Amino acid sequence: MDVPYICFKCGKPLTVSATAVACTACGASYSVVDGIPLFTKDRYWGKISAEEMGNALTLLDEKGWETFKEKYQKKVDVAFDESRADWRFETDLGPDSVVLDTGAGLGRNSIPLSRVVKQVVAFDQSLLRMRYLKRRAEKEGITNIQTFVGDFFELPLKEKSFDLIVMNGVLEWVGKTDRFNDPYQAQIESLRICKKLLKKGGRLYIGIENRFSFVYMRSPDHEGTMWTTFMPRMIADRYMRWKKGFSYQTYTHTKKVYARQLREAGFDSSEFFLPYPGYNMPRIVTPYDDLRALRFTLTRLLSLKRLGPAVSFMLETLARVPFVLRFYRYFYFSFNIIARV
Amino acid sequence: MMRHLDTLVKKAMPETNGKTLSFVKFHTTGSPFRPFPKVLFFGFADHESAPIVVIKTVRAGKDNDVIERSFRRLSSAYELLQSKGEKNLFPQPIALEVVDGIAFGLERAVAGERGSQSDVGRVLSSYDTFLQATKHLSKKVDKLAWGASLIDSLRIPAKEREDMQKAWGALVSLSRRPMVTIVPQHGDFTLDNVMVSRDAVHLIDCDWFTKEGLAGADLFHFLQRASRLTTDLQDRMKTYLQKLGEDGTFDASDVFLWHICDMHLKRIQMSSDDAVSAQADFDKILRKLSLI
Repeated sequence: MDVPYICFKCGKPLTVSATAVACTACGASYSVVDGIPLFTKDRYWGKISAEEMGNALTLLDEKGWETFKEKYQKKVDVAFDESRADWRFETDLGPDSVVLDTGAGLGRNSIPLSRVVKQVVAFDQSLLRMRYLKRRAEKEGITNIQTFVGDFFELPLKEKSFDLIVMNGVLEWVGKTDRFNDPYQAQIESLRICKKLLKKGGRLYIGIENRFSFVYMRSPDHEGTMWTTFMPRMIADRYMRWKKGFSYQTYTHTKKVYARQLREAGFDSSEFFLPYPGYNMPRIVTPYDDLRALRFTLTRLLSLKRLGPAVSFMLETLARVPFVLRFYRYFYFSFNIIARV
Repeated sequence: MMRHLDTLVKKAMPETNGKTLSFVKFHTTGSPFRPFPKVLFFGFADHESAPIVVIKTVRAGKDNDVIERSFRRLSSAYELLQSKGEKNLFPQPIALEVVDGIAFGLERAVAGERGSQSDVGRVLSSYDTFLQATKHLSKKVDKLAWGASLIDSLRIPAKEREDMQKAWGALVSLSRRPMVTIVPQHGDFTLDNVMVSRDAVHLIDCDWFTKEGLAGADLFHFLQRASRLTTDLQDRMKTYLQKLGEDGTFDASDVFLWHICDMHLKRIQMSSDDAVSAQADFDKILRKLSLI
């Protein structure tokens, strides 16, 4: 059964029809396209252009999945691998759970989660991406995913509705909103919204990069610029205005700051994990606080022997030193975070 | 509420009650469109520097058979060796549980690290132990009937099965030997599926263990997957296979047929290029062993 929508203007229940979603109390009305309600303006984002994504969906509808895969497998993040949601084994999700997947994209969390929970509500700012997710669910015979296009700060959802909320690659982008000047405050507000939507004992999953990741020494950050994450925020902001013409809005943080943000937003506790190679393709996930487990991961699961006997011996020796492990995880690429209300 | 993983371990291993558990998740990758469904968790308890338990599970109930089969086969291998006094060759199976429709298989973690080329000698000695301990189950069976029943068990379309049965019949009619030797078989014997520590060698990942495998197939598979065909390894294999041939039941061509069936059995679809390359590898090995 679908999670009911409420009007984010007056808080009253919304009536859903095939063509529109309407509020009988305040008269607000939203269109429905391809069975997907649009509660906000459609804003496409993705690796390929909106035009190409539209063509891809047309091809999918006309020629089917095999042709779609042949042409777009490498261009669109559509791999059927479902490992992205493996963090859910660290939760107590079950057949009665209701999940909200924020910024659900192409559904690489929504699809695997839908197999083990009662209902998944997935939203994104892009209609094209939600249309893809809907097609993928239909292909898999999945009937418990509800999709809509929405804005994180204007969600048509009732408080205390969810057992789990997913923010995979979302928290760093919420600062892009026009509602806040300070990205940090926008992030805190988004976390507060999640807290309100969660039931008592509910959990929030966050997949996000580490501000001081070694990777940013040689790769650009979310805004496509080099080394901005390492700069003090004020300097990064000025640099961005000079380089790109807008302020620095995509903040990432260290583990300590994420934990502080979650506390400020009212979460009781948070657990951190180190996904390898990253939170989007987590082949190995190691608890952050367990150095024995991290040593095991580095020396037993990462096949150091393939690097040659001398290098593997050196790395194995280094992995026995707690300081080295702490140093390594401080500069680690990204985190899986599970916070609890 | 506790995580499912904590609940499972504490129920199956009472000695962990009161201890804090943490888990490292690991999965092997399949191809993007044919992902391998199994997910592993290595469980750590207070003050333990190595994992104490390995939990195998899947992401959706539709794949439960992968875990159930894996657990059943490990139990079978473990019990078989246990009855012969070999307690350490396979990991100890602990429990198979289904939680919210998803299967979880728990086994005791074994010490050590994955085998490497330098461990080949020790690994093969341990495999000899396995062969000796299971020798009593060795039997000779009619080749035609054995192959037919193996092909029958494959999860392949009926037409493909029919073609394979015909091919098998034709092959057997050309074969010099009408019987085959059947022995217990690990089923995926490679250096990756061996854990080596200072004191012991363990055979792990017994998902394809069978009491009725083709004699020689394990070692052939091992040889095929070994990165280097050392002279020592070749000599060892040759001696072993020749010994098998002495009683008139071993025919090297059977192993290739087993290999193709095995690929189907594991639902690995080979492209034509892969198949040509596998055939070439196989021929190379047979030639090195002077068996063709």
